[in-house]
Amino acid sequence: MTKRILQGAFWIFVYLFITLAPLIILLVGPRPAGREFWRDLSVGLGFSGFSMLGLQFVLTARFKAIKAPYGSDIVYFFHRQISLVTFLLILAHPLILFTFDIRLLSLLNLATAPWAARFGVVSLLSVGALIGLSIWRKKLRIEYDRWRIWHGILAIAAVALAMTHIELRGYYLNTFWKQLFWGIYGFLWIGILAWVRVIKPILLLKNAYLVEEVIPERGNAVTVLLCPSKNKAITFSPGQFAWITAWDSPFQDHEHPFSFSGSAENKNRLSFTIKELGDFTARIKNLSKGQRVFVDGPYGSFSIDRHPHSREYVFIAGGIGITPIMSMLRTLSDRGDSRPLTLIYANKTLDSATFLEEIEKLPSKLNLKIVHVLESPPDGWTGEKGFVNTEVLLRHLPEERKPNWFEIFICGPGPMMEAVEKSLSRLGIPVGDYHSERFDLV
Amino acid sequence: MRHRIATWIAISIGIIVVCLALVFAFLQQSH
Repeated sequence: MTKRILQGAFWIFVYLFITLAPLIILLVGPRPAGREFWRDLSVGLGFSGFSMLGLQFVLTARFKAIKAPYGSDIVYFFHRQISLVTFLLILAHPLILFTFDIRLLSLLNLATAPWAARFGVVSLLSVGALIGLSIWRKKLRIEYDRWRIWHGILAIAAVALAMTHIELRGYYLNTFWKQLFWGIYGFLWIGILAWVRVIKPILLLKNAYLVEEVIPERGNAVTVLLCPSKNKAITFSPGQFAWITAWDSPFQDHEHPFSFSGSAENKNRLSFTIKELGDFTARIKNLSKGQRVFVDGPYGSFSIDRHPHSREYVFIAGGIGITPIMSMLRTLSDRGDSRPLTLIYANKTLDSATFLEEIEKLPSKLNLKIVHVLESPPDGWTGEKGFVNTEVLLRHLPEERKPNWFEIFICGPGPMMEAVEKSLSRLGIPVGDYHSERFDLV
Repeated sequence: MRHRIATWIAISIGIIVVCLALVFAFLQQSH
């Protein structure tokens, strides 16, 4: 735990350092003459905002070392939150200029403004569009695939335009070394893009998987079994996820995140269980035997293997959120684990509970207590009804509530996870003892 | 909870950046 906190703090420090690096460089060596205070402040915010814009690529480039201390969902969530902060900082850059010198408003007229200003304005508009499309994607009814393509285009445009704006303005890049620094800084972002868009897709192409079987499951879901076409299957920790590309090339950026649902002890093939929720997931059942699929992973820290010394495990699943939990249960079963386990599984009806039959058989292999929570239970149902609330948790959580005694894993729809997290906090469970996985970020 | 912490880290980074941009502007003035 302490190691994770230190790693987490280290990356936050690195983030701040890279954000402020341009300001430090500007202050080192011969400097151009100082200008009005507000103008320098505006420039300082602009430079820092630019760095943060470039760092957004790093946050989504799936570097495992960066994601390890936090978990992938938190890194993506931070990517979203920090984008708003970045936008405000970049927006402050022109707003401060306009406030103190109203004549500078003429820079907004793209027909007459100098090229440096034109690049700056269009870059800012690109960032605004990026954020707007992400916040209102669902309201605007933009398909995830289409959104991802536009997100990538606008992000690259915003950074490239801002870079050109800085180079053309050039007031603060008054020495060779400062110009060199900016050149290297630009190449750093281009390098990350090359890794994400070119090198990684080539590696994925070389290590494609083949569809072995597509099995229909309860709850409008299907399980896809994949075997590696050449090398061994990737190894993963139960609970982790991977990005899947089917029908398209890995260069096309049409990938989708799904949890592994099979046992991590099965080294020969991979299994993903996917519920029909959108365009891509609706097509999954049409995958044919032998079809090529590309798997980029594993990712995520939502796993029992990160907490191997826990005395008990509690799993709370809502609907298709059972998939990473099923991977953990199957793995524990294959390992012959004898620790006490509790599964609280919420569904609308029992019939829609994915893996129902297999879960019911698991207590013969595992020390597992199963609690079904049904929103619409059948007549005569004596089990839990409604939602997973504080009362349900109080009734079924292990009686021993010492910190670090048991670890809780929560996966399900967003509102359910928020409600469960609030209930756990109310029950005095330390934040470090429960873990959640979210994918529905945009 | 972890998401709330992530939000606060993002806000804190924003505040730190604004403070250091102010320091940058002051240092430029003294130049």
